[in-house]
Amino acid sequence: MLGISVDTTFTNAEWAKSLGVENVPLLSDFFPHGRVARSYGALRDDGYAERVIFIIDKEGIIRHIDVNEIDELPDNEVIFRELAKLRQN
Amino acid sequence: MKDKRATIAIGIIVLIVGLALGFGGATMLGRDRNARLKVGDQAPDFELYDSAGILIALSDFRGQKNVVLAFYPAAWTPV
Repeated sequence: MLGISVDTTFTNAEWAKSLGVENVPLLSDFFPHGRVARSYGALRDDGYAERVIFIIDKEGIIRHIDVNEIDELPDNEVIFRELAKLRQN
Repeated sequence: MKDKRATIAIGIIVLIVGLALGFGGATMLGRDRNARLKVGDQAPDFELYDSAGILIALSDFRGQKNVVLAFYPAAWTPV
């Protein structure tokens, strides 16, 4: 599990601390701004990243894409189900 | 005199058309740069620093682990 946003590493560090997140690396796509988000088609016109989850298998192939509205939370069950499918294969 | 005016008019038209094409082209390039990926595509590799200052690449997990890559708009907002 990797989190990724256009925030700085410092912002992410403070945020992770406040949430008690320890096992999920939060990656900083700050400079050049949003380059990775753009390569995934996840950069909005306003410069923020979309709320989107990619499930990528061990061979680096995209197996599932879960796009959510910016004010909507992803459905974790969907993600768990897709991961379970991957493990079966 | 008429010829000169005609030349200027043509010059202005060429300039306007050129600008329009330029802006259109720039907009289209902007769109192209925001890639559209689909299931079954190779995930673009990347190398980014995490909040602990550790450089993490997608390819680090190749052959090792499935990866859930979650883009989020901004820290300090509900995930």
